[in-house]
Amino acid sequence: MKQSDKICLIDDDEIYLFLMKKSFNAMGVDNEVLSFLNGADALEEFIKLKNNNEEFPCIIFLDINMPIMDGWKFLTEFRKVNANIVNDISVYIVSSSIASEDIEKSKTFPEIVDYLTKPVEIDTLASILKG
Amino acid sequence: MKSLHFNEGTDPQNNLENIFNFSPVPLLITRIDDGIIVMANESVEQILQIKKQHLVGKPIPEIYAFHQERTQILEEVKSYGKIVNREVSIRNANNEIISCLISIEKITINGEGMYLKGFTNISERKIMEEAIQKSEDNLRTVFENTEVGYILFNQFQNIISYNKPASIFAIKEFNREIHVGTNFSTYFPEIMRAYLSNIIEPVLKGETTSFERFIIHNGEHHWYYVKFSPVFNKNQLVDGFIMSMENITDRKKNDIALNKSLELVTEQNKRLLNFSYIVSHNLRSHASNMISILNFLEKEKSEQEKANLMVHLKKVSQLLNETLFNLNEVVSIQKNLSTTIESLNLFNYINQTIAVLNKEINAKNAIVENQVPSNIDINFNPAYLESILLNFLTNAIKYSSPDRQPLIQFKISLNQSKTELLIVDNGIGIDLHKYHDRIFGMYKTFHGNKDARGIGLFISKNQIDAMGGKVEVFSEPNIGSTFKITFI
Repeated sequence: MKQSDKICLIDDDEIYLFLMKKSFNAMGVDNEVLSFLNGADALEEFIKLKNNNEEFPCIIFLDINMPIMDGWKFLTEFRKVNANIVNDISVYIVSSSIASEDIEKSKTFPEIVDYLTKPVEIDTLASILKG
Repeated sequence: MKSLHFNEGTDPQNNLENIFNFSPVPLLITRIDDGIIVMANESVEQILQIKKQHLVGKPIPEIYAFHQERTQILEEVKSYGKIVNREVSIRNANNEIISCLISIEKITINGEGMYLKGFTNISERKIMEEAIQKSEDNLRTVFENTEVGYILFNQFQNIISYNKPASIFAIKEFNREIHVGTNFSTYFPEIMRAYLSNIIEPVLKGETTSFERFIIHNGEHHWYYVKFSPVFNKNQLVDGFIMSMENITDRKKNDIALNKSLELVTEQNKRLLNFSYIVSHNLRSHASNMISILNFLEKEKSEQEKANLMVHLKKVSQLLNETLFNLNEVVSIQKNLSTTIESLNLFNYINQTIAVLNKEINAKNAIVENQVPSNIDINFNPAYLESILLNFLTNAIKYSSPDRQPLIQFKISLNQSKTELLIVDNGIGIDLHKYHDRIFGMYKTFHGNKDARGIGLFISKNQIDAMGGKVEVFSEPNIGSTFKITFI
């Protein structure tokens, strides 16, 4: 599996997805952006990528509360697909939740780099993408 | 004065005199004719507290404490010539009253009629008896005036004794008076006897058992704390047992009220949590979208892009408004508080709902069948029922399968006197493996996503819960869903 520069957005809020893509444009980021409305859709696509020996994204911006498959469940399932997720992919939780239990829970996932609350500042995005 | 002489020496009379004098029993001999004491022994000195020399040769002092006793004794002696061990109160020289047994026998000495009077001091015994009586009276007072009913049984389970509360208990709960000698089991219906002997058996082996039981009386629950304690004899063998019963209805009622208010508080807490969940997830997501859009609007130069952003902003504000409306719905569902419950005809309410959604039903060319019998009434809040039916029917229409003509059926199943309403559709179904724990939960589907069942079902479930009902879902993807609402 090759390292890629694909960016992945997983969130059921379509306006958020629109705004994130707009932010990338405004920043001049021209990486390929994959977006999914829930964890199950994303997982399905990732399994396809693996089977076709295609690249996984290098950064995932993951929402927690989504219908069908939430962010936590997605991470658990994704580990089964790619055991090396911690090294290969930086996962950022992006949630409107400011509930401390969500923030605490995110610390128990080694693949999660940081917990961002919405709205995500352009500056924050820029430093993540530069890193 | 004629005095009596016992001859000295070895004659038998002398011996008798010695016996008389040294007898531990206080003895007096008085002459019948004039009541003069002719002899008194040393023991008399003690009981009457008068020296012998002050007694002999003098008329008998007034020894009876009570005139009535004296009269009675003297009359009996006159008539029968003697009395034996009669209980009497003697007043001694120190004015102390001493309980005695008195025996009087008419004798003749030297041809003269005499009374031989003997006393037994029983004052100590009497004091003890009185103390025992008093303590028994005290115990009896406690026994009779306690709130707890007690019945004492022998080892054959026959009643030996009982107190007033026990008798009140039997009359109130069994409509029977308690009788000494009757058997324990006769107070209970036949079917309970095996059960009762299971309880009594270990008690007769020396174990104590206790439990709480209620008896339904005129539709009311009367709670009792019942305890069986064995009674042991000197040899540590069980001689019988004590059954005690304490009415704990008030305490129990308080417990139940307390539990109810705990439930209410728990329920309200849950709603508060949901409230904070909506605030945290749903309101914040709209707010953050607004902030982002406004940030872009501020910097945007292209008029076309500005217009595009305005469309999004408008959408977000609409969704925010919707969220606030839903929030209000969730908060206003009150459990047991100020929600009126009426008897509602299910058939009519379903027909009304079908009429309201006529346009949507026609648009999908759906068939909606109301198979509920017209005579089924349920106790429910009218606004909740309208909202629930509307929500389930809307969902069934919305999630119909494009591959077949939608068929939605309202059916009834009667289960243990509870009414169950089934809403059966042949729609796209729900993958319950993926989705089961969240189907009635609330997650952020208020903002116009394709899969927006969330809040509607959440509110419906809350309304059903608030009415003490239950809702369940059975579904298979691409075959259909059945929602089952149980009314109480």
